[in-house]
Amino acid sequence: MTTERRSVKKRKIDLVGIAAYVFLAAFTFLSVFPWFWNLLSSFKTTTDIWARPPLFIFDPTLNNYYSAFVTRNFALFLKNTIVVGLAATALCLVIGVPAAYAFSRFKTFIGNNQLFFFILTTRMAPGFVEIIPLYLIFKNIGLLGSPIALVFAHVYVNLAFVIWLMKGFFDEITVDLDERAMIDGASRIRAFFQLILPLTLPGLVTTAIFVLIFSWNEFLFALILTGGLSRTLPVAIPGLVTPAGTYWGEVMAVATVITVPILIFATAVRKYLVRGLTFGAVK
Amino acid sequence: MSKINWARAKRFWTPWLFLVPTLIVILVLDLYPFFTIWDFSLRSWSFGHPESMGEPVGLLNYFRMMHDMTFWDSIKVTLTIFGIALPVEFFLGFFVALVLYHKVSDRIRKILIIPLLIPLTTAPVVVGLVFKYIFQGDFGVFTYYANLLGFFREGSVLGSPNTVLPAVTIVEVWHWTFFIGLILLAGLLALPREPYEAAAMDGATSWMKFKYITFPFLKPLMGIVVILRAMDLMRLFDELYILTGGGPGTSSESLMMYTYRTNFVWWDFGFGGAVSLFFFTIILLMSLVFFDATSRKD
Amino acid sequence: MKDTANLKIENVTRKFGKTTALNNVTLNVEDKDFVALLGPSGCGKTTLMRCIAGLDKPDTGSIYMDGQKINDLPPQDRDIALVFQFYAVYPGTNVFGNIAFPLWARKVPKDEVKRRVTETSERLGIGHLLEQKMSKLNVGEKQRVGLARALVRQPKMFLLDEPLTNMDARLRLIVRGELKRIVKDTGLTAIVVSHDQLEAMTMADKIAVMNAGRILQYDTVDNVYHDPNCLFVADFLGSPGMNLIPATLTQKNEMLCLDTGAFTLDVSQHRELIREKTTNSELVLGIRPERIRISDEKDKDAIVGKIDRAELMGDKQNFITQIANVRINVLSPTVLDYEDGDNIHLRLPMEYIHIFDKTSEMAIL
Repeated sequence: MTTERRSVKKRKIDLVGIAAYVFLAAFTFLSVFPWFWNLLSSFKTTTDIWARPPLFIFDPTLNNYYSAFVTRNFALFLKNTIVVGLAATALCLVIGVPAAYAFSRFKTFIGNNQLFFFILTTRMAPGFVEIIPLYLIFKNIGLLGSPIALVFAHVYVNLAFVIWLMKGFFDEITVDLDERAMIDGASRIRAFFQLILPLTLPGLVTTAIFVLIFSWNEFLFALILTGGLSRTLPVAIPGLVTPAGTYWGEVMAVATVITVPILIFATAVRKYLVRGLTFGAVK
Repeated sequence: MSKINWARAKRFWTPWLFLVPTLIVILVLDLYPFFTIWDFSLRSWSFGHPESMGEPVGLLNYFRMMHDMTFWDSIKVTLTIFGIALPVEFFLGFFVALVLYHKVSDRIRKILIIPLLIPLTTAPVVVGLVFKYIFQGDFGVFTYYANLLGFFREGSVLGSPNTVLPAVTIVEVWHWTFFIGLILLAGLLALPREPYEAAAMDGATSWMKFKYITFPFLKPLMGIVVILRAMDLMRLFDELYILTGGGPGTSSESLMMYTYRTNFVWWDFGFGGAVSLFFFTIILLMSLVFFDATSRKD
Repeated sequence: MKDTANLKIENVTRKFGKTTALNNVTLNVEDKDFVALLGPSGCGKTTLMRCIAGLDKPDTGSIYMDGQKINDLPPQDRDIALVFQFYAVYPGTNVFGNIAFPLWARKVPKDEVKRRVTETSERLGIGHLLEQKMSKLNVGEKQRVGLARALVRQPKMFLLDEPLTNMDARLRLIVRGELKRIVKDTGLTAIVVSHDQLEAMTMADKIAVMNAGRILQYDTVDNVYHDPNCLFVADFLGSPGMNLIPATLTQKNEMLCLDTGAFTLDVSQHRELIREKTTNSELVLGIRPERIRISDEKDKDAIVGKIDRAELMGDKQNFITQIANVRINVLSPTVLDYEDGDNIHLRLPMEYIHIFDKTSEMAIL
């Protein structure tokens, strides 16, 4: 690429280049603006929100945050979200990673491709195929309103993805390593835990990130499986949109709390994010 | 004698040990529900008509589905959004990837990714709410400035059946374009150096390099990313639900929302079951294509 | 149709951060020369080639082709063709397209493209593959497509980047001969980059041995092999490499000797030369395995060693021999009747002895 640029030492105005930069600037601006507007609005009083023209400068207030999180109990919902997120992530890894390892290593042994494919199609199905019976099961067990139900649902949805992603990471480590450990006397299980697993730490991190972000943002299952006090943030938020009117200020405050942690988190680990998003694709 | 058996037994069962938890999950959460739904769809499971609960009614639910105008409308809505959002997301995303790759230094690129990630990592619910706020009829930022420029005198862009679909599509595009962009960017970054050097020595133009090197290398990746987005677009729900709730009327109701409505608003699991299965089949077919595309590379 | 193509590289230096890839390199390649840039990984040979091709630019120094300074000339204008190590295939087209590519880039008319592509591919024995997809070709065929692509441009100069490295031994032999023939037939000036000394010696006329960013010796194949100017060159060429034995210069009565600790060698006849070239008494004695003469037990002046192991190399035999604390290779042109553990009697003929200064590593003899 450098050679290209070096040879273009002509003095003409690089129209394409300028257009590209303008485009990029516009694209970036548009990507950021809604979030920025969200953030800004979360500090506005209701009067300021309703102002026309829309205000960019105003007196900020923390009322919305207080109102949502203390008065309306959103702190509880936040807690639910965190708990469900962490639990789902942990459970997903515990169940999925060994399975991924199995698919990576025991190729001829199991009806490998078919089973793998089958598990992956579960990811593809629209939530409803599982949700209805799940709903009924949980209803019967009495777990319907509890976060546990949601954790299971999240684990279920993400399991296939975890297996797919981790299998790819395991594939990168050659079987020779396993075999060497086993020749040295370790059992397959031991080899797995002590040797192979630590090597895939980046993969584990990447996978965990995705599951966490998914669970944090997830809406559909949460909508159906939780209610009342067990709600997660994404589900609780529409509760602020009542027929009487929408409490926009608080909506914006909660929205910010939903978004900002993930954003900070994603920025910190963006190297892994990029890797994971493309991993299954760019083999 | 017993030593040999023990070792062989361990060798035999160990793989299954790794898989058991997964298999349990799949069994309980996958197969069982699937057959349950299948069963439901063949019966009358409407909580609205408790007297005929559980009675097998053959393919009645499926016939109802076929004759329901709202059902077909929801398909039309889904396909419309799909048909516009997918190409737009693709071309915009690809263009962003190209610009980020060719015109921007490594350091700037790493920094720019952060703001560009915002749409991707935002919860669909939040996306819906924020845009609902922006599109709000009285004080929304968009509405205000659009009014200034002469558009949309009648309140929110989301309130009119004519403009609601384009508005929703814009939100979709905003949300996911960089998904495609990011993946294609990674693809570009992974391209081998040699063919480009050979092309430089041969005196190729930028277009030639793109046509004969870049594009062929990226084709499989493009295919994957398109299919992934396609499947997600078919299942569009979260943002729509928040943005419009399907309205005005049912003019922005996607297939997924329709399914939701039949199952959890009408509580008609029989009918809803039929719709769910229909939906599932479509997605299944798409995922078959997806796997064909990914496995061909091996 | 083709005018002269000579290359002059003057004081070229190229650094990458803290590493100096090329350190004040000067090289002259005459028209129609076939030169090999030989050296281990990281010696700078690839960097030098890339600078010649235009894919990289020297920090200081100049490169001239036929008297014209080409430092700032982009690669496509240098009339140099490069055959890449990994073939650099264009995926977007078939074999015909890959070969025709440089012609398309120069807007050569269609029928002429067809003519030249067919002609070149026939010459390389791949004429029948023109419709094929690149992915269906094997290694040898891909290499030939790369060659064809380079040749079809009718360039002035030909650069080859480790052309044989990716091939199995059998194919390597075939392609080696072909490359030499093609370069000869077309009368092109060619530079090949290699880390394999055998490859370099069989293909090229002249070798430039490189290490750590410098050219250590640039001479004909014969001279580089028989008259290495330093330890590195002596060691690098030859298979098995030259035996290099540390020795001390001692005065024994009136004789000037080299004492290796296992045997001594009278070097009195070179007294003047040695004194002129060095004041060091720590030297290195060198002799190629094939130059050691094997005699028999009747030879009283012979050096006696014990055979550690005998390696069969085709119809030759290499005896890894131990003489006290010194271990050397002895290459015999035929298979002899010795067994491991046997004594072997050796003579080191003076005309094939090399002496190197241990510290400066330069050759004295």
